Amino acid sequence: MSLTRIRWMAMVLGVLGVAGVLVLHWLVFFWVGTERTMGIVQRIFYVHVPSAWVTFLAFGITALCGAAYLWLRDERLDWAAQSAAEGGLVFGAIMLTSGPLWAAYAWGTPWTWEPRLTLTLLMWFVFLGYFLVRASAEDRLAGKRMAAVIGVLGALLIPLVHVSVLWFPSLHPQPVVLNIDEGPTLDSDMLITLMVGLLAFTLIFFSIVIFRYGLEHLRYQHALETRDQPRAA
Amino acid sequence: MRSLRSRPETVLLAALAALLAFAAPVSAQVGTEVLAQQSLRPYWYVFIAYSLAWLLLVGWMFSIGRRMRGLEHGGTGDRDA
Repeated sequence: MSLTRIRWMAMVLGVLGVAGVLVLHWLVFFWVGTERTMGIVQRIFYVHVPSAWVTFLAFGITALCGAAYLWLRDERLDWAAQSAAEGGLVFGAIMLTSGPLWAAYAWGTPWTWEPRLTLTLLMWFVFLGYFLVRASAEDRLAGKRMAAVIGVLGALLIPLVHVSVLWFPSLHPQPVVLNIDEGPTLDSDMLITLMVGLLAFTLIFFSIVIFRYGLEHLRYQHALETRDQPRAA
Repeated sequence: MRSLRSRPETVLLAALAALLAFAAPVSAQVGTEVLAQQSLRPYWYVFIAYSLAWLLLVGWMFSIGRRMRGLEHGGTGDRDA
């Protein structure tokens, strides 16, 4: 796939994502009702949950592409894994900053070392380690393989993070959408707003990740050009 | 002048930056009487949460764009891996 095509794909998804985000903001600030117990601060939910969803999606893609890279040794899979991991770190940072802001008001404390929060923070640091390993390895190929293994192992935390609130009930709310027994327990207006948020964030994520993939493509081209240039001496 | 077609990141950055301004008027839908009775603290939390989200995304896009430009101009693009 050419760089121009990659950029255009990113652009199209980005425009759709930005349109989705505009609709989301209208829904959040002018349409959906205010939650009775927590009040206006509950509106952080519409940025916190979509960012959490995208973080898990990103780390899942990193694991899948990393595993496929270990098997097939196709550089493009490594580019995709690396791009998704970077996206996971950014959306993870959004999740890890919006959550404590909400908690500071709703719980009276921004952070507690309860299982879901602790595991989520641990997962974020594991994927930070993904980049540290790549950057610090003297042998670039070995670094990529080690990072792929870390990506696969790190993604094992995703289901643990999800079930942690079921196994160890704490301050963090139980799932309100992926509720196996009762189905979604959210008010219908809130559910619609959340779904728009999930879609918009997913589009934005794929747009920027494809754009980031283009950077790796460009680096590859640059490396080829540099290698092919005749030596001056 | 370089065309927008060759700089999609500029268009996306501008669109995302516009969202910051859009996220600000959280209190616009609430009447002033109600506002006077409430603490503005939760409004600040909402404003900060949304602003941080868009700042992080815009920052990430800006970072990718900067690395791309570095490569296009013959640099290394600050290779991180």
